[in-house]
Amino acid sequence: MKTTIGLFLFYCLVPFHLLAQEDSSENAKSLVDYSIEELMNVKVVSASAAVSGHRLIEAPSTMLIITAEQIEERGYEELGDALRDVPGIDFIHLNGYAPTLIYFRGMYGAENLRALLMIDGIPENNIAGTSDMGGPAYSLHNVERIEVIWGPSSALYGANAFGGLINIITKKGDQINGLKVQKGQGNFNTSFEKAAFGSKKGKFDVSFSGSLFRTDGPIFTERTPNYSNSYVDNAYSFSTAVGYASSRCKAEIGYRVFDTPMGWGQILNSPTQFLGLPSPGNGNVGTVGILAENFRGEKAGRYEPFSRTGYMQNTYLVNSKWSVFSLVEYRETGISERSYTYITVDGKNMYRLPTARYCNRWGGKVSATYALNEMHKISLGAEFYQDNLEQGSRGVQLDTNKYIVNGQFNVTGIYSTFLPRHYLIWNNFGSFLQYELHTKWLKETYFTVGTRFDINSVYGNPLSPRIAIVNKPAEKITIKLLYGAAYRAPTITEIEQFRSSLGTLNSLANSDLKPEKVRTYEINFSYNPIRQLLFQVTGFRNELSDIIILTSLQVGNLTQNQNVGNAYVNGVEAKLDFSISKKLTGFMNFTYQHGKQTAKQFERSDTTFNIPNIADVKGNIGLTYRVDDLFNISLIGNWVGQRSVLGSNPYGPVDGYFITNCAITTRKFLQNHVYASLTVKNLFDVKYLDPGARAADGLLYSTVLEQPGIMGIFKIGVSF
Amino acid sequence: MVFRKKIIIILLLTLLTPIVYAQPQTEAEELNLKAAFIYNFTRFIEWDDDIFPNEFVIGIIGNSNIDEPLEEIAQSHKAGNKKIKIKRFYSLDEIEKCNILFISKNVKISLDDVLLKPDLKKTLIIGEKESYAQLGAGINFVIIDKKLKFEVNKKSLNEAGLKVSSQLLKLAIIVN
Repeated sequence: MKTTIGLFLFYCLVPFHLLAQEDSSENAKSLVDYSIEELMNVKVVSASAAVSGHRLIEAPSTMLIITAEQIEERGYEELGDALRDVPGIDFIHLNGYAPTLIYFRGMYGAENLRALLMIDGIPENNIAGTSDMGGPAYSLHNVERIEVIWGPSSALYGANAFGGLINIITKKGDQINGLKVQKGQGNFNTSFEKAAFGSKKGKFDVSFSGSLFRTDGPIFTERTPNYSNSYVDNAYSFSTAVGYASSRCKAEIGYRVFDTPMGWGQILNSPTQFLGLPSPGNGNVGTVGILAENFRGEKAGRYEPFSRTGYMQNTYLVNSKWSVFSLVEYRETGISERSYTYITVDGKNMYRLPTARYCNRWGGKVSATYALNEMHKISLGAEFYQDNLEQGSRGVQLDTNKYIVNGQFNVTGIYSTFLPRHYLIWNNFGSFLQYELHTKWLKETYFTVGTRFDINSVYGNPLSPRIAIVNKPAEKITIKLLYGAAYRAPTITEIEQFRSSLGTLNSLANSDLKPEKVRTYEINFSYNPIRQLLFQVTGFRNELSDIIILTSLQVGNLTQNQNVGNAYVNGVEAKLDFSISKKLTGFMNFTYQHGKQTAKQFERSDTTFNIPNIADVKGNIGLTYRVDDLFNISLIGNWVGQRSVLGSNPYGPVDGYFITNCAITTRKFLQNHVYASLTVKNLFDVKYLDPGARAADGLLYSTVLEQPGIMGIFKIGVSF
Repeated sequence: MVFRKKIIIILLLTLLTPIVYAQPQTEAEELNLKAAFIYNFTRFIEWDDDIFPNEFVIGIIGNSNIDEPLEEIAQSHKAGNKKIKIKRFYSLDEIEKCNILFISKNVKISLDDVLLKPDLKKTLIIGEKESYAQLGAGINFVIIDKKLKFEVNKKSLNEAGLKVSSQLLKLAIIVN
């Protein structure tokens, strides 16, 4: 604890110590003496975080942008790296499967379904509603910026823009402008290769980007001595886009694919007791679960989610008042047929269970925006998509032969085959309307009113309104009052109930299952006294209803998903971005949140409990120091307070932690062609735990999840 | 422990390498650069003296902090022999005659409405929003490969009666 306080004080005091040494007030004046040619060769530094934040102050939502420069300076390699430093998000790192669960503003539950991940405005969430989101295939080397929006956005984007929205904006050809290659190497045999090529010729713009990532770790020997279930086996991404821009239209056709073969991580227990291995500890029994060590010369298990998207989009500027946007998309997501687990319930008989799933979506969107005059702006649009959804995991023709392995196990299912795929078709039509009014009321006030109405062929017709009032009572102050409603669509698995690769379990379908709903009230205050300083504080209240909970029925030992939960979360987020000079920038943020959930228990009284697995208090603090023409160094601390757990979890509350991440990036040398970076996560090798997910009872599901100690990546980048 | 030692060695190597090979590169914040560009434009463009005989007015519309670097420049520099004056406007109606009008990217006013204002017939309109040059702004800033460039709409400049040096046009991205 003393170390934690010491580190926190160190970070807090350092910027003010350095404040006396740096001054950039003459920057603009000194540039005046440059010729135009010289100015055109000056690198634009996106400003300090404070300056980039300034542009978002008037947005009718609480949002933040992570710029390409911040991604580079802070050593963010994948989406999860970038999100850990923003306020209001809780994580459970499974180190495999998913591979990370993220929860906006204390809304624990529904494993990554209460957030919408988009790439260039197109949803990237798994169509079937499985938990995988992000991961090492989602490399950030070709990302121009990441937009993070807290609170509901269903009024514009429909399903699952519930607790928050993450929109990754990729670099176009002119932004890449050449060939850029990266090679990285780290501990646990981690290595990656990344490349991006982009060019703009006249009105045409073309870009290609790809990445390949592999690792053997982290390795949690305390869980099982030869642990090998957090590997990544050549996760890859590839994307390409061809754009055409004229004075009136901007069109793009593109394709991207992400594939992440990885271990199952720690979400499920390992049956160590039956294998004659030491106990996994932390209240985990070690009698049920999946293998976490190599077996029969192959990995203990493999989970391989994939996502492929093809699209065409066009923005047409009719004139400076009218613009029309259109999009056609085709997507495929699923779990590759190469996925499997080994499972035993008695330490003698072992089953190799393959698993697979495939879904696709086609659809399109048309929207128009009309700026009537300086005061009025109207946007309206419609969207249709059709989902082809596989019903649960694909059925399997089990190979019932028993093969003796290691002279100890009878293994069944080694040569199992998949049965034909069964699917359903779901259709969704959505229409939305938004009106923006700019007035001089109370000096300057913007009103945004919008709503989206969806008609879904299965789960009904949710309505998602939002209202935003943004007032600027003074030049440097902005106040926002925000209200929004959103929904989280029930998945086909939740409606039809769990269906394993071997058949259905004793669960009942529920064709009346409705979407989960949230209403969020926010008040946001921003103070931007000087360009180099931006302070924001947001108070929020989320009210969730119709939460989907797997409920025990009164008869026949059956379960069924039902809309029986309600919850609320109240919280405050504070954020400070500062730029002490062009050499030293930093940020601090702090989040307090607390929530309670109520679940109806039929003929018994309702139960109310604190929302588990989220920290009531947490914060981040980061500094980036640029040493002229040599290198940048970023030091970022992540602090997470104690987390309460589910009543079923025997471990009890999980202690908080403070970890430090460091990134050093050199400037480009050898005629601006080559640079190097070193990123070290958990610099002080702090031992910490995340709470287990789902029941986390220590039987099937792990009570807590061990987290990796110090991890480093050394990277060389070359650009031509 | 072995891994920590490796990290320290790599860290030292990372720090040492650029000392040998680093090439200096000038950097600047976007707003400072734009302000310097705007000031530089006054050296390559001729305005009609009738607009303001004794001062050079740069107007800003929209919520941009570019007024701060421009004010810094105005305190120590002149446009030709005229004192530079920075004016902020908060609505279309407030916009008055000026030599340069900078329209910030987050402005909620239609460019057509700005271009139609009679007071701005002889004004250099500078934007920072995609397609603004094509839609009628005289100059529009764009960022390409982390460098600030500018597009020029020669027709708009001619219609405003602005005489532009060929030296400036050579460096511009001409959109028509």
